[in-house]
Amino acid sequence: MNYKEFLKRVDENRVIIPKGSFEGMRVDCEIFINREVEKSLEDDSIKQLVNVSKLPGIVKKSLAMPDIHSGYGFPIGGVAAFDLKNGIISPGGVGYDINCGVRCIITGLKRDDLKNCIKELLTKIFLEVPSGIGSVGSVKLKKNDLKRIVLKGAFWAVENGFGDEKDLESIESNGCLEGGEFDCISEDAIERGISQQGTLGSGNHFLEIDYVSKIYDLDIANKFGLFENQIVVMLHTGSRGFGHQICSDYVSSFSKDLRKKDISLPDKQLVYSYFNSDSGRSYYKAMVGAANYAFCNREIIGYMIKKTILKFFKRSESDLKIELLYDIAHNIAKIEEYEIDGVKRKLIVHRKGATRAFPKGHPELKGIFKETGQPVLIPGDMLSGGYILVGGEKSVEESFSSTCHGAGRTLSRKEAIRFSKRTDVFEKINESGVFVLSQSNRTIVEEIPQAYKNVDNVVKTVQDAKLSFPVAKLLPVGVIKG
Amino acid sequence: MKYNLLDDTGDLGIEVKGEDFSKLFENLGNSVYDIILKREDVFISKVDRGVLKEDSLEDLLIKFSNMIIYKFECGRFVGKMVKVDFRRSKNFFVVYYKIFGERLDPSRHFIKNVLKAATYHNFEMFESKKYKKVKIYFDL
Repeated sequence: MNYKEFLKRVDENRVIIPKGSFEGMRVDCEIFINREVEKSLEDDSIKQLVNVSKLPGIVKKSLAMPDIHSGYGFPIGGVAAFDLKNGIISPGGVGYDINCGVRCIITGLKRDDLKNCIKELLTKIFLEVPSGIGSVGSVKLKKNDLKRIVLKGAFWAVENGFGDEKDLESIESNGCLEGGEFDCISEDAIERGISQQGTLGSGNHFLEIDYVSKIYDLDIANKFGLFENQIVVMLHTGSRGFGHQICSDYVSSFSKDLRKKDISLPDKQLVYSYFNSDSGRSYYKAMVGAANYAFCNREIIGYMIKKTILKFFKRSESDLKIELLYDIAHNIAKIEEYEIDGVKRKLIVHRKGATRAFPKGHPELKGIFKETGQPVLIPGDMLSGGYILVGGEKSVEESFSSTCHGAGRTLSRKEAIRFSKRTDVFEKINESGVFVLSQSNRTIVEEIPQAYKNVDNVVKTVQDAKLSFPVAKLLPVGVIKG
Repeated sequence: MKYNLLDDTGDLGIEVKGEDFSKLFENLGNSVYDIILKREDVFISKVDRGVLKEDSLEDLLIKFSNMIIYKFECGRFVGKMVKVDFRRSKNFFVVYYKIFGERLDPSRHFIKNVLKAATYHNFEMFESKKYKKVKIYFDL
């Protein structure tokens, strides 16, 4: 079946599949996508979005952002909210890498400051931050530490001297979700998590030194502390093996429960449990624990980066002005309140490869972000860079306060390897002037720019749909691929 | 031992065959190690034995794959050869496995891919008198 044939364009930035187009749909599907990005839309990802629209307790719409591509169960770029009383929670709606997210650290350094030393600096960071296959952290945890991380998130890093207290206000949910419970997490997950705190990992995780190449909104950029040619560091990682094991454990147990109840699903990765059930609550508590693990992981790595830069330049903290701009989650399920048909309801909002984008004035935002809206961090590919956006006024009513999370893949890893055999990838990287380091050349080949959609077109869609607005464009000077 | 790599936008999958279920599990185990590293570099200095039990074959195949991933990540154990004895009881499917290998040595072992989880995504199993076949996708 060709799902694309069922798409109806409602305006320049949205297509829908109306409820009733397929049996079992409880709500409409809606994809924020302009005509240009639609050209690379895969049929499989639309099918997955339709499958999500059939899940019990879904509210309003099964949504997707323009960086939509095929995932496990839910499409990546998918957003779906479920009623807390009668709706479900699904590990497939969060993803294996629970609270995979992005952190942006700003500095007082300018592009010229790194002109002759980017290789040396990046190499120092590469040696300091464990990355790549099977990387093990320099932070040695005991079981009780892990227990506290599950409860306290990034606060654990701060209380143990691996972070700054003032960072917490600049992390989504202050770096800690309430309700993590260690008893809901398996021994296997604990075993995997205990050695990986403070590690970048492998695959599409990265650490990037960028410069601000363009400012779009001077007022907000000033408030964020951004200026042209400024050096910033973007970090992309999550909950490592800890989150993967928690996801695997609950996919397996939910699958057994549904089989016992004789409930069949269009996709086995869409397994779910009712939120208001013992198993649903248990997954939520474990997922919160993994989300807190990831917030802590990024705080620790951020601390390592800051320490390394200060040591490298032999300058003081106040002199180099290294600060956290923001830290966001893009694989998560969170309890949020929305007005639906005039009634305030608590919903469990699943963002799977989608970023929260609260606009200015949102009650959950604090400090300067209450005036500006929440920073949204959008990485692109390793050569074309990414964006810093700010939450837009339409996000709350149109997309459960969500926007895109990146460029989104267009080539599989295997296709990327095939493509790389036809072109000299490493020569192209050298020509670009971007210094790239990785534990494995294979990772670089799998993550070539051609494997991703054009991030500019993705951002244009969310901007035109008023979900979020560009504040600054970033271009890379050095990249560490995990 | 034959297996095919399958394409997926984000990650990768494998298709594995075996003339019976014991062989299917053995080939699956060996293929997973083949994807992770160069098996020819692995020496045998340790045998890891265990039993896995599930009430569905599908769950058992996923659990078996995840067991290998777990042993690699947590025990730093890499396998050269997997041997499996598959049995069915009234309510369960059981595998008795032996993995012949050694502790990961980054100076000798060339790691090709890190698999983070075996998934149910597009899972397929085919069973005939001549052979058994399974397709499993892995999150990278």
